[in-house]
Formats: sequence, C-alpha cells, structure tokens
Amino acid sequence: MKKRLLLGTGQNGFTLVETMISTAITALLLGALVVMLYQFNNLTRLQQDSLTLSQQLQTAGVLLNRDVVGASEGTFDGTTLTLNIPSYPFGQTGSAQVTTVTYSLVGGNLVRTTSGAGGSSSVTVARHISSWQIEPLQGTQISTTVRITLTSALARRGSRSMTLTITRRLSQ
Amino acid sequence: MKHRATFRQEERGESLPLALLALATGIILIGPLLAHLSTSLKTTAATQTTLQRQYSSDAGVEFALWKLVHDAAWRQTLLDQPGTVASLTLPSAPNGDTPTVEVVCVETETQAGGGGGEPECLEWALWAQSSTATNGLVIGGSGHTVNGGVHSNRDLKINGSGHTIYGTAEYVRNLTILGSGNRIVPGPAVQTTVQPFPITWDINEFNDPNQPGSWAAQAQAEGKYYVHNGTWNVTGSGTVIPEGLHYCTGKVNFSGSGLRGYNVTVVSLSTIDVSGSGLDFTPYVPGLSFFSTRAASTNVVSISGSGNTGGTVFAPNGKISLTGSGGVITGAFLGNEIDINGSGATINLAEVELPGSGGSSIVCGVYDIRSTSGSTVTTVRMRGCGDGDWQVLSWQVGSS
Repeated sequence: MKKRLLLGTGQNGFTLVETMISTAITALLLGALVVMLYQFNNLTRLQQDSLTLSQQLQTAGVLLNRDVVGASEGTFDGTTLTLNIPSYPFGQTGSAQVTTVTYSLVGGNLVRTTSGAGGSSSVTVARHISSWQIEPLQGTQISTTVRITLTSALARRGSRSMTLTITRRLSQ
Repeated sequence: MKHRATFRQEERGESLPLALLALATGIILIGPLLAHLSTSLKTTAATQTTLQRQYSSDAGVEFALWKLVHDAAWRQTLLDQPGTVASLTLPSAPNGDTPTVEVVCVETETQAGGGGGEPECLEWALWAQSSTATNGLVIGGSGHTVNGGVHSNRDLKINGSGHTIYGTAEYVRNLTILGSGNRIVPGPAVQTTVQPFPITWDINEFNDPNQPGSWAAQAQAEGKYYVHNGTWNVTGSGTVIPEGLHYCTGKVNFSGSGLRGYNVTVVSLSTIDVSGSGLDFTPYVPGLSFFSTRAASTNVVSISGSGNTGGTVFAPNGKISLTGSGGVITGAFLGNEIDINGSGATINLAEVELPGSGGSSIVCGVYDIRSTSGSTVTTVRMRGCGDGDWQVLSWQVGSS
C-alpha cells in the first residue's frame, strides 16, 4: 500500500503504455486524415477533368451545330470535315459568298479553320478529343441529316462521348 | 480533487494549436472545393448563355419563316416594298430573351403555274385498289388505331375488337364489321365507286438511269442511284441506308432496330420485308418510301415493326401486310390489298403532298431574315412562292 501510495502521489508524467497508446491513436488519426485529404484531392481532380471533358465537348458541339446547319455541302475523310457555307449580305442582291470551314483532328485538338474572301483563320475549339465519327456518308459526302460522335479522353478520367444529330437547313 | 485541478491547469493553451490545426485542415479542404464550384458555375453559366442566345436567335428566324409562309398579307407588303426592312416582334420571349428580328424582300419574280395555294395532301392512310379481291382491306387483330382515311375498291372488313378509324372510311361492295368496340370517327363508312390510286408512280421512272428526266437519271446525276442485283439484306441495329434511290431486282429484307434511311426511296421488283422497331425514313422521291411492283395475292410488302416510313408504301399489284403490335407506324399504305394484323398498333398518316396541287401564277420572292440575340446573329435567305415550295438558300449563324 505504501509503495502504491508513493507511486500515486509521486506521478508527474505518463507511463510508457499510456504514451504508446496515445501515439498509436494519434498515428491512426493522422493516417486517416492524410488518406482523406489524398482522396479528396483525387476526387477534385477527377471532377475537374470530367468538367473539362464536358466543356470541351459542349464547345465543339455548339460550333459544329452552327456550321453544319448552314452547309450546302460537306465531306468527311475520317479526320477532316470540310463544309461549304454560303451566305449573302443582308438585304442585298448578288451571288453567294462561300466560306469554307474545316474541322481537323490534330494531336488531340479539334481545330476549326475558316477560309473565304476575308482570308483564313484557325482556332482550337476543343482539346482532349481522341476520335470522332460522322455518319451517314456517301463516299465522303455527308448526308442531309448527320450524326457526329465526338469522343474525348483524359488519362485519369477515361473517355466520354457525345453524339449530335444535326439536320442541314438548306434546301437540297 | 487537487490532482485533477493540477492536470487541467497543465492543459491550458492547448486549445490554440487544436484550433489552428482545424483551421488549417479546413483551408486545405475548402480551397479546392470552392475552386471547383466556381469553375463549375462559370462553365455552366457560359454554356447556358451561349445556348440560350442561339436558341433565341433560332426562334426568331423560325417565327419569321412561319409568318412569311402563313401570313399572306404581311408577305405581300414585303413584296410590294423590296429593300424595305420590316421588324418583327415575337409573341413571347423564348428563354426570357427577346431577339431582334428583321425581314426584307430582296428580289421578286412572277412564276406562272403551279405552286400557289395550299398544297393538297394525301388523306388516305390505307388504300386497297383491287376491285376483285374479296376482303381487299382487312383490319384484324385487336385495338388498332388508324389516324387517316381508309378506302377499299371492293370490301372493307373490320375484324376483331377495339379498332378505331379516325377519318373517312370508304368501300365499294361490302362492309363487314365483326367483334366489339370497333369505331369509325366521325363515321359512318361510306359506300362509293371504284377510284384510281390517289397518287401513283411508274416503275420506268426508277429502273433506267439513262432515261432523261426520270428519277433514276436524277439520282444518277447526284451520285445517289444504287442498283442491288438479287436479294438485298440489311441487318443490324441502327444501320443507316445511304441517301438516294435504291433499285433492287430481288427481295429486300430489312431487319434490326433503329434502321434509318434519310432521303431514301427503295424500289423492288420483288418483295419488301421490314422488321424491327424504331424504323426512321424520309423519302428521296417526294412522297415515296417503298415501292414493290411484284404481282401476288400474298404479301409483297410486310412491315412487322414500328417507326416512321416517312412517306408512301406503294404496292399496286400485291398485298401490304402490317403486323406490328403496340407500336406506332407512320406512312401511307397504298396496295392492291391491305391486311392489318397484330394488336394495339397505331397507324398514322404521313404527310404526302399530291403532285400538281396548288393554284396558278404566283409572285415569288427572295427574303432575308436576320435574328439577333445578344451577340448571336442568325441570317437566313429564303426563296418562296406563295404558301408552299419554300427553299432555304443560306442559313448562317455567327457573332456580331
């Protein structure tokens, strides 16, 4: 009793067992925190990638829709879509001015090039495009109603596809 | 008690590191989360705005087109004042956005004959031409709905139960209605005389691409004439038939779901058999989707699926059979005999313009439409004569 009493009253720190237990609990908590942060970071990255893919596809879709509806004719050779888009100055007589718009898949980028009377210019409308397909085709000519499937891919996110069905508005 | 008090005193000051630790953790978590939310919101808003502007601009053009085609008085004012820009106000604001719509007549010309007035459309969903075959037009099975007129040059037999015909029903010799719950709306069926096909086509238009002025020659010139010698089989899901005129010397067998043929006309010297759901066709030859010349009292055209034929299914010398169940099939079925079976199918009359319909001379105009919504500008040039036959010459979507 005397010994115990002495130990009890003279205790100024933690025992080895208490220290080991507290260290283990702290290590577990810190480990869980690190894992949580790592997973959260991964999730955020995946969401950003997903968003990026969706955004790229949407941008490409909006522009493709704009151009295809107004095309009098178009060809697709597997990598390049070429569209001829006639236009007239508003309220003026005269023949049509034809602008040629091409979409090419270059190194994962979908590049839109316009060329006409005013010169030519190119702009990348979507990145991370791994492949695209247009149907139906007659030879290389696109049909009046076309289905365009764009596939976008990032290493972390896998691939995502979007299919547009666009009917050309010009009378054939 | 004293020991406990001492122990608590030793913990003083530890709340600050704990609070800092919690704060640091929160900052680490909140940062990426807010960045993600911000990017997501901005992206969505930008895309939504772009699309709304585009839809709004498109709606403005569509409204102007509708007004040009259907408002003759307004169209005439444009024709009377070429070069004068007229503004249009939409009756409602699409997506809360009101596009600015302007229309101007650029050129006028007077065209003699044809094209004036409202074009006349085929009113018969089912037509049996034979005046000799007993029960030339039979609607059997149960629960079919026919949205369109029905005509038989001999007998009209409605068998089974629960059929409804919304349209004129005509027969020449015998009308037989068996079973229960069969209705003709408005009804009743009318006895009439033998009539020619309301619309017809000649095989010589399709079999020789060297025949000047024929459909075959036109398709050949456009690179859209296809000859299939012997049996022509098309299978698979979502298969697309190439645009143009397809002339087949043998049987035509289409199967699989989602078969598509935009601007396609199929002409066969033998039978045509179409099965599967989700058929979607529009005709290359105006009004004509499928044409079989085969003469037989048995089925020469069999359609057992559902979908849209887009135009007329024409079998002047044989029987057309529809055996779908529960689906919707759109078209106009003109055969020597017609046999409807299965259950619960809906047969909708396709819009098929009758050739030569319309009035006499008419003033045609070339019009420009400009619809502006935000920075999105859609400019369209149209050429139109009266209420029908409008052509879109250009359709350009751009930015101001």
